[in-house]
Amino acid sequence: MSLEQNFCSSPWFHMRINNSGTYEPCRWMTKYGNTRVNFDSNIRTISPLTYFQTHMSGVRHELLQGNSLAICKNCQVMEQHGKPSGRQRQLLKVGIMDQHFEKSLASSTLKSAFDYSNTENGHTNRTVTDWQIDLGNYCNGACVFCHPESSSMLAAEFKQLGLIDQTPPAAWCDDPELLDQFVKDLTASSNLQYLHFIGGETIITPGFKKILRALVETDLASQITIGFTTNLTVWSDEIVELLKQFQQVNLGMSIETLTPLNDYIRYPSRNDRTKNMIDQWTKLGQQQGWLIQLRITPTCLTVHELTTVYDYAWQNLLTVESCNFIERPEFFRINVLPEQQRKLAIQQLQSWIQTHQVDSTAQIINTRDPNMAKQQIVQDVGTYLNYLESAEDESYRLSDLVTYLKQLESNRGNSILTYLPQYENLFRSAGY
Amino acid sequence: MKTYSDLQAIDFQLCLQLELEPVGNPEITVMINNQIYADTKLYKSVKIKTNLDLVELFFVEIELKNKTKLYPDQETAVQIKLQIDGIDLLPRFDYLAKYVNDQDNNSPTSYLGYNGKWRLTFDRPFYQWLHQATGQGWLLS
Repeated sequence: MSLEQNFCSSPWFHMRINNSGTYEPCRWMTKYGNTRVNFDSNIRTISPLTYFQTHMSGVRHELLQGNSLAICKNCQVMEQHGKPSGRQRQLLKVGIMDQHFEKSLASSTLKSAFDYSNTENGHTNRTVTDWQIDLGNYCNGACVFCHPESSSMLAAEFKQLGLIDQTPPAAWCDDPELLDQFVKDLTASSNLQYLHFIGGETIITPGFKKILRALVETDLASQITIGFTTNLTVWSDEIVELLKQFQQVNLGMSIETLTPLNDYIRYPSRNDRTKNMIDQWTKLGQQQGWLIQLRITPTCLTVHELTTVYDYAWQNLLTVESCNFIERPEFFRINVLPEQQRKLAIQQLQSWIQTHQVDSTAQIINTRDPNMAKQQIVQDVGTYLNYLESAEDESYRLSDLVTYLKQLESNRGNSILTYLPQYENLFRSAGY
Repeated sequence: MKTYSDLQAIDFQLCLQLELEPVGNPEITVMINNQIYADTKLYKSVKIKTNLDLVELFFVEIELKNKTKLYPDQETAVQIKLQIDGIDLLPRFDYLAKYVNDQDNNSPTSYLGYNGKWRLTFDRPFYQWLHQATGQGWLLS
């Protein structure tokens, strides 16, 4: 038990609504699918404010006691490998810095709120300033590592292949009444500062546009930052014009490699289109002064070509980030690579770092800072290097990986060996 | 520290250390939050140490005065080093200080070579100030 290792400020200003309309305390929390339904804490049954102020009291109380929570495992793993965790980021947003933990906590902007909760069993009078809003799985992509709850296209494919019996239920925001109710709650809440949207593909999700428009029409846009990630397959002038009305935009662009392999992983992307789209969004974001990040989900299939993304980021001074080390599906974890392939990936990342020297190696928690882009990129490379060097060997999952890929390929008519011919022996030995 | 209550039980202080290195024999006044810590001619380097309340707002001001141009070959100046809780603030944050002097030279510096007042203001609790000065992004309230 240690306050320094476990304390997190997030539950004092942040909460999430998942695809089912169920409220949750954290966007980074360990989870298994994002359609978890809990009708005791759902938009259909209670207000977000009641959930935040009262239902989340237990989480706040445990954190004030210095206790480690099971839902915090993702952050613990990230910190273990030197990757800035959600906990560290949320602490920083209220002035709490790792290297000066005690004194910066004691002089945090939320000190009085922590004091209050400490005497009131975790209750708070604050309102939510930082939301994660899950908008459902409406998506025109079917990334191989994704899951039906985040991709309608993959859900349909899974059903066709017999991998699931039924597709996930409609998202809460597909219900016009619930969406209106949520928008009303949002526009009525004071001190709203950050809304982070998750899809599916947000740009083509009707709820995204509706919420943006409501915030513009109620003159709240100028005080709010919008965060979202696009899969680099779509563009909407209407969404772009709405986004320009907001105080700031944190734009994430999902990409795994800048090689044809990306087409296989982020199916059915096309490399030439993806490159055009990434240039188009980057140009717009730089013109608007938005904070732009390349969002990666490194897997055992892509880690050795990650440097192509880092090269693009380095040239364009963009930061690179992933939410966490991929946990599920388990067979996509980076440590599924056997020792020989792992060594090659390690050598590649080491070589990249050696040829991209930076002045400072102090850990960057504010990973969106464009002034620190190069240092942040090197730091990110370093975290995957650390993971490859230290994560437990899980190459026994290779046969599961091959079985899964073959199922998808039977429907898609493609082959991983077209994109990764160097892995032919490896995959053949695992049943390909 | 195990719990938040443990933290509440501690009376945290900031440890401020100011080091003044004279060039020649400058006449200076040192003020920290309206309290004068030195008002003298410097013949050798001096260190001033003091504790401040953790969340107190404060400023550090050094005035160089009575420098004359009678002997232009003999430089009179003072070099400032400032640490809080062991964190070196100069020259890293010298651009955040204001130096109002008789030469109207506003270049960021921690080397005072003109008659005038150099002031570094901590307009929010020190660690919040440090957060902002080091570009750590949002500071939600």
